[in-house]
Amino acid sequence: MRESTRAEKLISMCYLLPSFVGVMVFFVAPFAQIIRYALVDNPIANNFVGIENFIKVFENSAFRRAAGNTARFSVMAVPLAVALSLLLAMLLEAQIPGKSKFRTFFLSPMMVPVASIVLIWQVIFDYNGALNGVLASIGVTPFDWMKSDYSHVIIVVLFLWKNLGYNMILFMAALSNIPKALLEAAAVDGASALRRFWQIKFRFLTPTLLFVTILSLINSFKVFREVYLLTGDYPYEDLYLLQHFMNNTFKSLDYQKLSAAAIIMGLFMALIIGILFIVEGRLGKDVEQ
Amino acid sequence: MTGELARKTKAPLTLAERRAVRARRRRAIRIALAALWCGVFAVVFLMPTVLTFANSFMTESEITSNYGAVFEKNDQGGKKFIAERVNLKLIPDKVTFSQYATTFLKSPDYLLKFWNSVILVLPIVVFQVAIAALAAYSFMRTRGRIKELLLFVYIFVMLMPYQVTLVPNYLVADSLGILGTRWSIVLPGVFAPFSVFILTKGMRRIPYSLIEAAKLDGAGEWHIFSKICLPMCKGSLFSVAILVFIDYWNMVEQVLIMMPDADKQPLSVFLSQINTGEIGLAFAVATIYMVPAILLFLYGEEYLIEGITYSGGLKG
Amino acid sequence: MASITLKDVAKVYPGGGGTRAVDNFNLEIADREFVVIVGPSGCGKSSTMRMIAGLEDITEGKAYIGDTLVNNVPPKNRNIAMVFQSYALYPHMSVYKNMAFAMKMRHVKKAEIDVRVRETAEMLGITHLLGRKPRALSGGESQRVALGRAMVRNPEVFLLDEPLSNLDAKLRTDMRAEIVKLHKKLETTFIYVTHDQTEAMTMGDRIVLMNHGRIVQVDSPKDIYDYPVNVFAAGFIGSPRMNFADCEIIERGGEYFAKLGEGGEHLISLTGVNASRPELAALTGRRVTFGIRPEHLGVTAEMDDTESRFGGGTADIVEALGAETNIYVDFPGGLRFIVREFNDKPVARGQRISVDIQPGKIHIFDTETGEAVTGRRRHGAPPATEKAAPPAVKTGDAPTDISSGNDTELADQIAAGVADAIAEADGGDDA
Repeated sequence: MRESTRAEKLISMCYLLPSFVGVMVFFVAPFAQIIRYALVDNPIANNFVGIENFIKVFENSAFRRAAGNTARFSVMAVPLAVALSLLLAMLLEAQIPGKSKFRTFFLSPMMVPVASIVLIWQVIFDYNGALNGVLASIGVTPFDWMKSDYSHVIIVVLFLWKNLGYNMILFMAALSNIPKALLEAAAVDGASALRRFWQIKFRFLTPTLLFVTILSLINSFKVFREVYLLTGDYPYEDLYLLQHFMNNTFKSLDYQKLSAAAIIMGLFMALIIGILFIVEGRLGKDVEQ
Repeated sequence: MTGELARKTKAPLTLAERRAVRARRRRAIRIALAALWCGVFAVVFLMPTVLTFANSFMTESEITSNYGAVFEKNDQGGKKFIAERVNLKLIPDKVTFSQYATTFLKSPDYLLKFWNSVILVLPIVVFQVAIAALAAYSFMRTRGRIKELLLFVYIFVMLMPYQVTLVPNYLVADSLGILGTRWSIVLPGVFAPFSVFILTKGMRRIPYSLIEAAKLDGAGEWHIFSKICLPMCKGSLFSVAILVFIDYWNMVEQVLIMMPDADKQPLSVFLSQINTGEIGLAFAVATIYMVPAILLFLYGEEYLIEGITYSGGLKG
Repeated sequence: MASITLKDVAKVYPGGGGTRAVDNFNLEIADREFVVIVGPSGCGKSSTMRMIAGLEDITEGKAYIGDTLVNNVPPKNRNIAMVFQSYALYPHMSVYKNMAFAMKMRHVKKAEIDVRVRETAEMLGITHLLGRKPRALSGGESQRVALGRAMVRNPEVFLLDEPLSNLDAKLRTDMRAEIVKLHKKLETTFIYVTHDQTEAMTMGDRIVLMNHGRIVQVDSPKDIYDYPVNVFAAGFIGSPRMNFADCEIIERGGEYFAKLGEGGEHLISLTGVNASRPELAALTGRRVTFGIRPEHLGVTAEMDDTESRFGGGTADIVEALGAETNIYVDFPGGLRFIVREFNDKPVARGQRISVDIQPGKIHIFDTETGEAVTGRRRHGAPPATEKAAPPAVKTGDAPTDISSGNDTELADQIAAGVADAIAEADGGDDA
């Protein structure tokens, strides 16, 4: 039952203008250029080559490796990120003493700049690091973690360390939104704790669960930051991620490859975001009052 | 406990009472277990931060003897295995501020990088929040199909990783001739749509009748915005500022691509490039670098949580 | 202080599929009048008020405040104050600042603001609250502050949008009286929107009854109660609501009777009914609706057989409210009426009782159109018992009532949705 007059709409547009112009200029409009670049052989000759650039990107071994590594990382990290953050949220739900302190502790890694703790991470996982020290003392042969098949694991741990707190807060908010009366009613009806979890809590958590999953997936594409700070420009090949590929492509100023790759990744993200929106629309309604 | 036991031995309990006692005990055990787990997690979560902090108060010789092996390079520049083990220590043998003294007095390079971080991040935080507040007001005041579509575009851009957004950013920076300058990082940062999204959610929680009341009270759009909406959104404004700050205080990707000039790079990129022999210093600098973030966190934790909660779910 | 004139005002919401939320709205509100707009949820009463306030565009028609056409005047220049259902106090400002805000926006001098805020606070007895923030106020206190904020700048028109609906029952009664007193003191035009017929009856100089975006009736509370123009108005005003029953009008020996019940068990004399003989004659043999308010039925001591006797029935539900008793009585022929009895006669559930009726209070409605046949010519018209028949007034003609200009369409709607509308009227508020 509310509606705005024409004058209001006009003024309202003025307030939006700075942001609108900025977003268009820096994020949206250049995509026209990117699409053009992706479809020509080079910016000077401007010969239309169709999807050739895309095929080139797909055939590029570096891109394939980067995409594969990124996917592998996401597959490992996302389920853990969701499950562990839900676990943390539920642990804090259990009315333990000092609950808010624990919440602060779990959230703190989010605020600590990765660059600041990278030293400690190196100290722990280095060839001569603390972890190998411990392993050696129990008779395991030390190896260079960052240059092994376990390098992914280390990045996963760092990723979890950094992201669990954020997800946990989202879950805590969702848990506190479950109507207490409903849980009490179920308890009075004699439903067991397990039943109450699956039948009520889980149902109310489902939208958040999916939201956190997709958010974690999107965040897992951003893990380059941690990898770069730990290993620099040239990581172990298992840790060569899409952002590494982009950085190298930037360096070579190959606009065609860059544009095609950006479009491919953009479309893939669009797919994920699309799923996120659909999931939101479908499940959000279910539990909204 | 002993009192309870004593009572128990005195009079036999009824079935119901016994059941209640058992339920209470089960509950206590459950809470204790939860607390234990939380404790374990807390140690893991706090360790890196605390260690960094603690190590910054060690002398250079202690650091070298503890971690020297890690940063020792062999002739080919690669790592070699040294039998001598790394020593993770929480409490310094001798607490010293010498690393800090060195940072401030003898190594202006680090301070310069810190300053680089500040002059990149502060304008981004201030202007992104300011521009976003205006935009969010607009998204709240009038709604329509075009507005909702636009908000969708904003969310879309917001969720895109750097692999995608840096390409348009780069092209624009190139054509504006600002590549390699701070502007190439600040400008895309200022217009990043993250704050718009969160603030729109915050503003849309203001009961619309308040805005109508202000209209009838004779307030124009600017006064409705500045006297009613902004003060009422103080929490969201602050939480957004924190989230934006931490994101850019941590920046890496943009810098590598837009500003390869090491002199202008922020500390977040530079910290990983420490040299052997400067490890002690690096811990002090790392600690200095996390202090603003930690202070902001401790001061504004409630706002941060509010901001995160708002980011859950994409609908206003 | 100003009069308000609305001419052919209509409201169509964009995206509403062309539904006319308000349509054909014509009303003149005199200076210093207290007008209550009442109707069920979604009847368009709030939209009407918001158009007067300027919070919404007027799709069609014209609105005047005084002599000024205000269609394109922004709300801040209309010198109107509004009290919102939610009070809409600025939560980050103290009560004092809430009250001072409008004047500050109009660049009134600080000293003058201070004098006026304190005067108003004094008048409403909220001086001790001036330093508090809205969240530290109780519902009643918030209500007073909201009134104070509206009063403090001497507006020409006061708009009150369901201002009492968030208060508990006792406070509501108190505030009702207080707002009426305030109106007398301020000598300003008041427009008051509510879905509550009690508020409408007790507060307004005039009631504007709306349904489906249109005005149904505009009248003083007493007239709207005594002479409802149609089934909707009859059902909406009054509590418990009017009893309705299908009936047939028959003539027997020069006298008209209403035949009620499935098998025509009840024959009620229409002598004394507020309708002319030709009017009744025109209805003979047609399906009409018979209406009688619960308070115009009564429990009689004995099964006497007078003219005022309605019949014998069984008390099914007895609600003793202290001063009055509502008795749900089942009569033969499937009739079920509520009888509102003010005498302290104990009636038990299941008891057989005899009910009498006040014949002058019977309402007859055309079932097809929903329109009232009774009370049409109440202004100086002779009673129905008069033998010399005036020219026939056919059903469907415009009543002399000033309110309805659009009866046929309206009547169709009403005939279709009487039951719905009445059910709606029982609760709720504009969504």
